[in-house]
Amino acid sequence: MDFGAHAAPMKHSVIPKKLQVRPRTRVQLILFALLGIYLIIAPTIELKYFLTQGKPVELPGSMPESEDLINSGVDGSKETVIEGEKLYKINGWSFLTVATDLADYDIYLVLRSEKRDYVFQTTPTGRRDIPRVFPEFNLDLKNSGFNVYIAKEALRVGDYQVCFLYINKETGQRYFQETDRHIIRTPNRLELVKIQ
Amino acid sequence: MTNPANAKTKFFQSRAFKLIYPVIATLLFGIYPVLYFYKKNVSLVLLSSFLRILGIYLVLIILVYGISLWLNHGKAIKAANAASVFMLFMNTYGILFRFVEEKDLFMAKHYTLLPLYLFIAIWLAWQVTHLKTQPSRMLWRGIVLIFGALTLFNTFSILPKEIEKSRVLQTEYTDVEAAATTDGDKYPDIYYLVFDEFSGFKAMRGYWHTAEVEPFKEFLLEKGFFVAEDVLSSGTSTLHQMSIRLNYTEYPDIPGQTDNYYQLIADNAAFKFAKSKGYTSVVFDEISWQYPTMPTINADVLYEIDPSDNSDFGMIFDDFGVLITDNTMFYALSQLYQLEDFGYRPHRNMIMLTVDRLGNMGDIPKPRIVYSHLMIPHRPYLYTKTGEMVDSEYYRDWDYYEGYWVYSLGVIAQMVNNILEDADPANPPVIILQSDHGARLHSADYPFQDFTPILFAMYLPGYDISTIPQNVNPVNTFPIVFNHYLGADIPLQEPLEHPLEGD
Repeated sequence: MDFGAHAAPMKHSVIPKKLQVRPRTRVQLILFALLGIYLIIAPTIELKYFLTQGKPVELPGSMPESEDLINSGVDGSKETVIEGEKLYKINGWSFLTVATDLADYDIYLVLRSEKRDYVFQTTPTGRRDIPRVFPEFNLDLKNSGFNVYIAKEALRVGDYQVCFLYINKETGQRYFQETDRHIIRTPNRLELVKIQ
Repeated sequence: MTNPANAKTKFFQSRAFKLIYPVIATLLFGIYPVLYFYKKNVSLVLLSSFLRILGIYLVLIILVYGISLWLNHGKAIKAANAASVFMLFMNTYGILFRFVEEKDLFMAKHYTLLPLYLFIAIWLAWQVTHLKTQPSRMLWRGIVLIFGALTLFNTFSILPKEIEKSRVLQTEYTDVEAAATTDGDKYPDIYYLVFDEFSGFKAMRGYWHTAEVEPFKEFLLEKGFFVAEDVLSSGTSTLHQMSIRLNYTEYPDIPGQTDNYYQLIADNAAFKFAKSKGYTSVVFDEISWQYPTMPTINADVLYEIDPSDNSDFGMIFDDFGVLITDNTMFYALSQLYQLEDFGYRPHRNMIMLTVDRLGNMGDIPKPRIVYSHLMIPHRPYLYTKTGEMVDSEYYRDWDYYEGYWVYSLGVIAQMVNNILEDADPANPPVIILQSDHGARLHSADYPFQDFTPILFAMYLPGYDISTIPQNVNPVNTFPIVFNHYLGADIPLQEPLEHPLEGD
């Protein structure tokens, strides 16, 4: 037999011929893989480097046990845009029944899941209705309202119990209260629900 | 001399023609959504709106085809097929994004979904170019045949409606002769103020838990208004409701009657009757903003919203343009093209003008019949209840309806105060506050019955308001006024009881 035309030495791949892919297909696979990696890491990059608002704060120390010392109500949650960032605005009211002045406390909204707590700083707002509803408390409740802004990207998908944390600015004493309100983070929404 | 037949053959065999003609498939395929949506809304959308978005699409398609042609080294049929595949993805991105978002399947973000979609679009377009010549030609022919037929069908459906639209827009109405009467000085000015989609008080209390209902009702009662809480609209279409009330005749809302409603509003019985009594008719019209094909209302003085107020900002898309563009890949840029603050400047200006002018009409001869129809608290929901501007992202988000409803209360109160401050105490005006229908929120927990309760309050000096039932039929609005103040004898109709069935 004449093998003249094939006399030049052939390169032999260690990959079986069935599994070999053409260079063009290889480029496509690499591009698909790169896209897949991008899709996985992009939300993390957004959260870390692009989102500036609605992120939880880190508080040292653990949460105290829930006591029955904080009265509260969460009125609603609404998606809004602040400085170009989509955030959820949670609003409501709360007060520490043993306080003498609410201004003495830093007030936080805590979202608690089985695995971890997310702590968000609240902003006090005026409420004319709360002093009328709770006349028995010898406490100025005019500013017992609150707003808190949460970026849904900051939370993992799951169910979170809404809790309140009061920290005395001078003594550092903490008061913690769980509520019957939950926030459910789905892929695209934050939903405020009441669990009976 | 050149033989014309030869020149023609030469042209069809020329390289330029062979490069250009295949674009027809991409054009027919790419512009189909524009044509389809225009056909569906032909009676509501101006031809100029259609042509504007069509022009943008033509430029886009030619650009896509040009790039495809370049990438395919001048193989025109393959380039056209690839461009058509790309246009398929271009025209459906917004639909997919909203579907994913609504179904909450996975996180919908433009920065992830758009690159993925673009990648698949380009990849599939590239795959299509690998078809052999014969299948490639078959695909091209298939696109031309199917979308050519659809284009023809849509064009023939549009044409008669376009002709009818043009006829309605050009209709001229004859003026009614005013009867010689000495009572003109005694007749009160009549203000008919309509607030679009303003839900009735009970619905606002029940579903939205709006605390501002009570103070506003107290305000109206203190001013001497009759306030009815059980008034229902007989339908949920603005055109249907306004044509009924301005002509005090009840009829069912039948699809396809838009042109008829237009004419009934533009040349309505209430204005004709008032004019016959010597009234000057004044209209503050924002209906034509939502229904740009509506003919001008036949009035002595007409204030219409001026869309050209936006010209200095070079607004690209109107509502029809947004409807089309929101389905495309441009949806990722919706914050840039959605009608932001400046886009709604004419609307804001119209609200301010109306509020201001209602208390300052000394230059218009009395008695006056004034019909103001403002698109508040209808979307776009521009303001929160405290008067802060809503981000354009939420102009159509029902979560902001209640805030805008409360904001509207301030507008109404300002209007009422302005009118009463400007009024002659010896001949006080009649003021009618009304909405066309309630909030049409399509949500599982929003009762369908809440679509129809409306705002209904009347300031009727010297009228025994105890005779008006709480569930008065709004079709009686003008008969109540005309019978008492202008000596008409129009029969009143029975109250409505939830005429709508849930769908």
